[in-house]
Amino acid sequence: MVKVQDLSLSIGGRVILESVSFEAGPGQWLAVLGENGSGKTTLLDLLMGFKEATSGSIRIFGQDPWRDPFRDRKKIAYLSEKVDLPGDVSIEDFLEFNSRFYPSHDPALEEELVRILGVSRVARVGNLSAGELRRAQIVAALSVRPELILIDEITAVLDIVGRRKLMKVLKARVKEGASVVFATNILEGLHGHVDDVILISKGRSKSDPALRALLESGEEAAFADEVARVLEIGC
Amino acid sequence: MLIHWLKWDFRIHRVQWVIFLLLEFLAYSIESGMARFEIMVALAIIYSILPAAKLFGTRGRSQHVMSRSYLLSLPEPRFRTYLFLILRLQVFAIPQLILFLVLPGSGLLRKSPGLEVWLHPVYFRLILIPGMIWLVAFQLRTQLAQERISTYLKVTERFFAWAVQISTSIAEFLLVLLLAAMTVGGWMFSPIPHWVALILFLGAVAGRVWFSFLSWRKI
Repeated sequence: MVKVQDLSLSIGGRVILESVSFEAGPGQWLAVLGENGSGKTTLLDLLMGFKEATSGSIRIFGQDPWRDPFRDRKKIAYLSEKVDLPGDVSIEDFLEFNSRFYPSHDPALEEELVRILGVSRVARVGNLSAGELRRAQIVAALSVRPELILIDEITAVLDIVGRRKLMKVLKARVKEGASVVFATNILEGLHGHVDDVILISKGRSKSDPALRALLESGEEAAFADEVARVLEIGC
Repeated sequence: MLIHWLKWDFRIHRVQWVIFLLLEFLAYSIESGMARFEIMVALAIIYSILPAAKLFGTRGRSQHVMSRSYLLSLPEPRFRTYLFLILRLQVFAIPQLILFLVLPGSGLLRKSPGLEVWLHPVYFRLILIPGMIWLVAFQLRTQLAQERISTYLKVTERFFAWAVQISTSIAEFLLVLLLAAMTVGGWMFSPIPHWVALILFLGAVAGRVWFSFLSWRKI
């Protein structure tokens, strides 16, 4: 589903990402962890085809996402803090507007997500807090039954209840065969959900088998210590 | 899908449309003679360029504006989304277009008998819409250049980038203005045939539209 090989990106002579490689297959949940400014958002931008790689390759559903048209983009849900919406429409308006782009949109699922995430359909986008807006975006993104969900640190603005609800609905999608690539700084709650972890530090990536073992064993504190240790040394 | 976008735009901008039409009506009722149309045209031009920055989408985080991250994540061919964007912005230029189309050679300009000497009415009408498309794509170029310069470059590099940006913008603006003048100009401004100037003008517009798209699709 997602295959990244030796991916590098330089902008204006500055190396942003260097030789990043990983894979995520159907029903797999991959967490991308790293310090602030390590290149996580840039990596997600590349996966979405917002940027063109300097070298290396990205294949999503077997295609390069930079290509236009990219026919399988309708299978991808993108959740990011960079997704902003006009303030003068209601959530109902936005959900209706967004759903028209996706033939796979499921109104029943949308209703269920609205209920689970506690989203008010009549609220105006401009009046929402950052967390409420992200909840509405989660409803829009997941109600189209995506096969690949790319998440760029939206959980930082979600409260603990919202975060747990998001993890729950993502878990349900993963069980149905969707893949998740989840860039985050918050380690809490990854246990029991995430299958694999990739660390990014100063643009370089590392997949650490020790981290995977700690994830599986459920030792949350030891996992956090190991992540911090690797990030301090650098990948 | 274009209709879907147009409905969305109308929903978001309906209040602005009402205010704009009221202002146009006021200008028409208060003033008399040619000044009335100059005010109406000026209002229409301002109105046509205002929504551009909002519709192109912002790169950075900006509340109340649909970001480019959202626009580019939609499952539509990006070039089509971009062309729709240009077309959607033309809707805001319709009042301006109507005013321009009725002006040259119409009864409204009877008080300017020398107009045909420096303005060819047929070619003027032919370049109106492409001219507005160029203006939109040129605005986009400026917006994107500002984003890029303030994002990745060092202070010294920014200085030169701004210098290049400003000088190339002025050069492009003057070139397009010259081609437009040669296309619509009467006998005084026609060193080359009108149709040759028209082709060059349309080429410049197509080039700007394409290069702005290449910048717009990158975040």
